Amino acid sequence: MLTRLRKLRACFLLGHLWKKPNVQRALSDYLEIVGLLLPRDQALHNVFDWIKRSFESQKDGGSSAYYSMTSGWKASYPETTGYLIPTLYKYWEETSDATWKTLAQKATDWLLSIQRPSGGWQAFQVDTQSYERVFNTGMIIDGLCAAYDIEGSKRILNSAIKGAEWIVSQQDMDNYWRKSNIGQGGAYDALVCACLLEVWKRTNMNAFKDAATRGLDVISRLQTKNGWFDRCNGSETSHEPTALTHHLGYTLEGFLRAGQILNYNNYFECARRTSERLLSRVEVNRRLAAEYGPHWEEIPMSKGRINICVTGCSQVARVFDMIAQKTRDLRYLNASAKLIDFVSAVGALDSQDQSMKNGTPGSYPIYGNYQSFQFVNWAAKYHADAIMFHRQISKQLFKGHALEPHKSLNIEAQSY
Amino acid sequence: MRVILLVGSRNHTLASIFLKSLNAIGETIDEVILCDGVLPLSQRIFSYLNLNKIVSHIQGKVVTWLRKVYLKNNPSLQTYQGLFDRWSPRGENSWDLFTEFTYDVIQYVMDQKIPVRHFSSINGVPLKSYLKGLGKAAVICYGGGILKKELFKELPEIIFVNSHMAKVPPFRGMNVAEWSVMSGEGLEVTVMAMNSGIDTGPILYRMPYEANEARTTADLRKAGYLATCNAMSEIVPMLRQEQFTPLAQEKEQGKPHYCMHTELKDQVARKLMKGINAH
Repeated sequence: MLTRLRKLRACFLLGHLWKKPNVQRALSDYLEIVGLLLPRDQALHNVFDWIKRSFESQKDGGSSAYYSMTSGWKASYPETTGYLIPTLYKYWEETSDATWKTLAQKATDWLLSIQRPSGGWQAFQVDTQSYERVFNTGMIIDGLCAAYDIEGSKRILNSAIKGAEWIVSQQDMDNYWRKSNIGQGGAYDALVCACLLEVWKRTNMNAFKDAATRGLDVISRLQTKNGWFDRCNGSETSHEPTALTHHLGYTLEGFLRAGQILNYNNYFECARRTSERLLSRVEVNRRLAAEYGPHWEEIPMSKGRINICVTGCSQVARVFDMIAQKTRDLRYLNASAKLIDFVSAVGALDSQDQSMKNGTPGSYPIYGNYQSFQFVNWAAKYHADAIMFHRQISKQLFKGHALEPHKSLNIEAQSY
Repeated sequence: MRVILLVGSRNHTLASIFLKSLNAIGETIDEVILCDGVLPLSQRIFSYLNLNKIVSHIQGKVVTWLRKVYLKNNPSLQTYQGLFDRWSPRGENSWDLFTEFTYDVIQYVMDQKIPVRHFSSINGVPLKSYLKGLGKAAVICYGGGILKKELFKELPEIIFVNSHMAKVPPFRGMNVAEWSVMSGEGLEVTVMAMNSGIDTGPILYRMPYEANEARTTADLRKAGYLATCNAMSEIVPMLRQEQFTPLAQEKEQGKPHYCMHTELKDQVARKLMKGINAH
């Protein structure tokens, strides 16, 4: 308790946190209080409402990386704006509301305008001086592929090809991506490989497929016997190796998508092995910790304290649904519903601060280790993706009966 | 072999249904152990003297009070615990579902003159020492908590018997009747000798059952509970005469199932409404 209070006090001393909405948010998380569950459509609407605000807070067409409780909206983040594009198009398809298509188009135009001559895109937010980065570029070309599918513009595809060529040029002799990469590369580059395959799917340029399969093969060797991934948080860490669920989510999504594109079962099995462990963690501990050690032990924030990476929960929920889709193993659909509920509930806390309202926090509690005191656009993106995909898979598996949580089962606030 | 009934404080109803089934086939048990979870006064006083416990107790009280005040002013919120209760077995345990049974275990054992012993914990030293002294025995478990893994090594002559309302190995874990209906598998009770895994022990007896009349998940679970009691009573004579052949199962043969989310339970309910055998 003292550690918790000390951390809270230190953060409050920063000044801005003394604002009433910030105090309310920190207090409710400290007391382990969350919002009541809304119907999934409403939850989705709320997430997109916040995503829209993250775009509107910037004038360049990109989405703000995050809203910080201490310093407000940050500048546009190319990487996450890139992977928000497919999410926006998907919601446009679902709602037929042109707002989302327009946002996706503007985001695409902005990304094309800031592509470096090398073909890569910079790291961090756009107002930060930075070199081009492999992972960030991968996420952007994924968004450009989705934009190309809808808009059909060669300009977009050419930009994606240029980006993919730059990624291939950065691959090491041993097929990892250490140079020009976050944390000198890691298991999460599996998703970069899947993005290269997305470009290959649209161009048939085999150089992308070859680089991706070589990359996936070496990354699959980072998986240990118990399904954990070494170098999950990158290679340059000096600490004991741990796996952040956000990075695990990238890794597993990479293998699943690659397996789907190439129709290659080994990649699927690789993702399933890890997911089986995550499934038991979610179900037995009734939470997905932010980080796990090599023996799947939770890495706590402090003694006995919950520390959850909210983005990781949504990513893993989506991974579970992908596995349920392939195997029809409903245990995964079940666990995914629980994770989505959790993220919806922590995002459903009302706030007088319009920038926080309906935002998806980086951590639960808000003062947790990952993206503390921030509402991040990639958490919102993955939450929206998770809800939309869960609904789609449920409909498929239950032949048209979409699943919807029992409204009557919203447990009343209670003391215990 | 001696056959002992072990009953946890919340499982009297289920144990009473079992005893009724047992009575119907002219059988009985040799002894009843009640694990009521109440520590003797001396131990209770000693446990309260632990400083860490005192601090965490006060801390818990303060947080609970703050939470109560906070929630009172914000009715659109719930506790983190409340959220997770959406997929807890709340409302579907035997003590929630069988409120109409009044067959009192205590009264039964008094009438039948069956010896009764009280212990505070299933994993406590006193019960362990007592069981050690018994030699070969079968302990039919109705609640009392989760047995510690060491117990199985320390008491090799004791068979702890558990019943499960679905086919094992395919359906291990929680909400298994619902998972069986969801996957279209037939319903079956499995009686197992417990081991350190979850529903991974040797299978002693299997008995199919039907729940054609069930229209809700509560009906389904009720049918399941009744079937487990019947199956458990049928195995008692076999245990007593040691006429059973345990069938070992491999861990890899089945998958653990977990508490079912309300979304999926709704699908089970939909299926039950149509009739369990409808396609």
